[in-house]
Amino acid sequence: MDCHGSGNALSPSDGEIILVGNHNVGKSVLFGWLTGTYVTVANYPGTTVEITRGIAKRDSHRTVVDTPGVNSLQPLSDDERVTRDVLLNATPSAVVQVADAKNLRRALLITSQLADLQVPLVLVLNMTDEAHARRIVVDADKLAARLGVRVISTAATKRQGLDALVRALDAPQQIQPLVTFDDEIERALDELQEKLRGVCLRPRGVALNFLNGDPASDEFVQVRVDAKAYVEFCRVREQLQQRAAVPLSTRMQKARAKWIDETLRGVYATDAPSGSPEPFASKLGRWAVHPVWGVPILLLVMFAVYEFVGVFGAGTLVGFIEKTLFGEYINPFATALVTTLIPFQRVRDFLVGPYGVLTVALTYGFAIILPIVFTFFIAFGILEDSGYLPRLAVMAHRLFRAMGLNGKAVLPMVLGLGCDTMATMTTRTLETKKDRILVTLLLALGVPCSAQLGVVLGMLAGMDLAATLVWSGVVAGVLLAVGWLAARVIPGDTSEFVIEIPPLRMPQVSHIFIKTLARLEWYLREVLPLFILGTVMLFALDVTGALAWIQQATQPLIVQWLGLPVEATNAFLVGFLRRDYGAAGFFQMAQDGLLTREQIIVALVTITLFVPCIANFFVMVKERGVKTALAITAFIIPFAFLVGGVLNAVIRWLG
Amino acid sequence: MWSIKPPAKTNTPPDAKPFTLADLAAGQRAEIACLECPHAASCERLMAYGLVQGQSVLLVQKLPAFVIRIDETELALDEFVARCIHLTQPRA
Ligand SMILES: Nc1nc2c(ncn2[C@@H]2O[C@H](COP(=O)(O)OP(=O)(O)OP(=O)(O)O)[C@@H](O)[C@H]2O)c(=O)[nH]1
Ligand SMILES: [Mg+2]
Repeated sequence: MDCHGSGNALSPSDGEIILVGNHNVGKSVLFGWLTGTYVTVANYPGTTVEITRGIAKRDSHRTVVDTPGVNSLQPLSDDERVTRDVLLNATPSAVVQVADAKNLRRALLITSQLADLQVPLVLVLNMTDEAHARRIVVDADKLAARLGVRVISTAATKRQGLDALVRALDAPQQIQPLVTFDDEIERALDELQEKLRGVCLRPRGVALNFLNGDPASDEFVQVRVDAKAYVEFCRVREQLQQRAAVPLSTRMQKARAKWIDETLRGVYATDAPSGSPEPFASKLGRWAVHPVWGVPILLLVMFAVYEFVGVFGAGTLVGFIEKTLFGEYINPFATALVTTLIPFQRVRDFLVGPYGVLTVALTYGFAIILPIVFTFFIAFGILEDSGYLPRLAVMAHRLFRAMGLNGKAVLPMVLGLGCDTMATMTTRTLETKKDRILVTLLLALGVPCSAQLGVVLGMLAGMDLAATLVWSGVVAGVLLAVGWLAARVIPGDTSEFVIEIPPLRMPQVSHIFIKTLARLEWYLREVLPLFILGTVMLFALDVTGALAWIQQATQPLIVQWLGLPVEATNAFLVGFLRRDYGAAGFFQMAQDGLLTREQIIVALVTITLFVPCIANFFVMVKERGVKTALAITAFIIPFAFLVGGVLNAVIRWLG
Repeated sequence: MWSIKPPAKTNTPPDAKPFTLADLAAGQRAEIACLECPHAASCERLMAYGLVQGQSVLLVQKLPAFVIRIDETELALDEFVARCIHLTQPRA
């Protein structure tokens, strides 16, 4: 959920150490340890959706690469494709496959695919602490002998076994193909491999992917061999595919499953005595998705977040920092200082005027939004690390299905509460294009990000329950209605709902601390400058007289249609940069007594339905293309005003 | 429609409705006979999660979504997917 973007896009180089493996097995924890740089770690599948590169701490010549988790190297979704492409194109000094020791079967599927790529490999059996607690025993030596590569047992979060990993990285062994497919496939593979030798690095891996009809590999082959050879390649593939009723990829996977069964024999065993009491965390995890008990648990979680972020963060903390610290000390002092030191009225206004960088941008940024995002980041970090979020997806599945989406889409939507920009990137974990577009639209339309949600909660906490219900009811209703309609308008299939539920884990205080700091740093670096930009823009519009003109021109919209005071125009203007900044504008207006209760509700609903921020727009362009991004924006902005105006009319009509 | 392997040892006659995960009662355990999905990709995804022939699955619950346990993996899925997972009849 950090909108880090792709800051560390060092170009791919030789000799990298590439971390790959299933989802949620600890790749990012290991990456953090190897490089000393923090990347988001959380307890749900699909935390990492982008390649991250970092310099190894112990050996500054080497780059370490963190990749999105995969279930198989035969990619089925965009994030998996990213990982596969890295492996096909790189010449790593070592590939480190991170496995969850408890789920060795699933890891070995990937191992067998890595073997076909013949990379230098080290297999890490992580989470041995959890495996141990569940009395699962893995014979690492026997496994190493069967695979022909080193196998290291670790517990990454406890820093166990990591030195052995570093030693193994010095001289990793190259893994050789482990699975033999049926004669027909092997013959075709030999034929293609022969032609690919010398043309590319990993002939068997490329040939396999090509035979499977993978489009990327098809292209890979096409650019590397001449036209005649390519035709020949396609002929081999067609022959192979036509002859059997079962798709080739499934035949291959069956062969792998058989090999895995054999490999696990005598290597993986559980000796958990049956009838041993179920640990409390496991029970709680079960209750959290229970059709009955799951509901009170969900309400309790929501209530706790509301109390901590809305009441404590947006109420108590903001009250103290804004009213007391900034209102009574910092701002009066800064104003006095500026007035005595600076003789020019324009410069004074620029710093401490009604659109002053100090009195507005920094006050909003530090006194209103910072305490709110701070508390939200803590609450969210705890939720992420506990493993509750995928359970929330299970609970919300029915509701989402009514909308034409499946429960898997819940995760990006919930992550949107942290940062819509990052969540838009997480849509890569969805399998179909339709789902990705739908979720991108809904995120941009009505999922308030942490900063905005905090401001909104802060304003609502100062009012009554009815106001909260109207705001959340209208926003949720709009999301449902638009989702329902869009699911019928946008062509394509929705993906099937299959989601992995990780075990509940106790969040580590130190990790929450690091994660919150990393997110605050992101906030200060990327959000605050936009606040300043927005304020400078308002200042410029004001001195040139353009602001008065805009207020005049939009009066029918803001004043007549939405029923808001004319100053609200400013909030909407900065709302184009970041909607939380717009919300903060309303927060200030409400505090100054410029808004009635009804006006607050209308203003909040309208600004919640705005496009989240400039950064979000650019990520939409990157992920969905210019056309879709523009279409979504062109829909959202008038639609937000439409809903706001209708709500205003309804409230007035009801009296 | 295609199957990964003909059901190994189902007690059902060939024309009877297949016995799938959706027919299992919550709390029951059974072995996977085969997967029958409309797309090969769906089957491959399930296999990658460890749903392979002969694996024993525990059905934890059916609502609000199906939750199953295979070894140490817990998966949530919807009824549509549950119907793709054919089982051998549990012995009464
Ligand atoms: N008990 C235990 N938990 C661990 C261990 N290693 C990682 N974790 C936890 O497992 C969860 C997932 O860790 P990540 O590093 O985010 O996993 P990842 O492989 O990067 O996951 P994706 O990015 O989703 O593919 C986090 O909650 C970690 O704290 C370990 O050795 N023992
Ligand atoms: Mg990760």
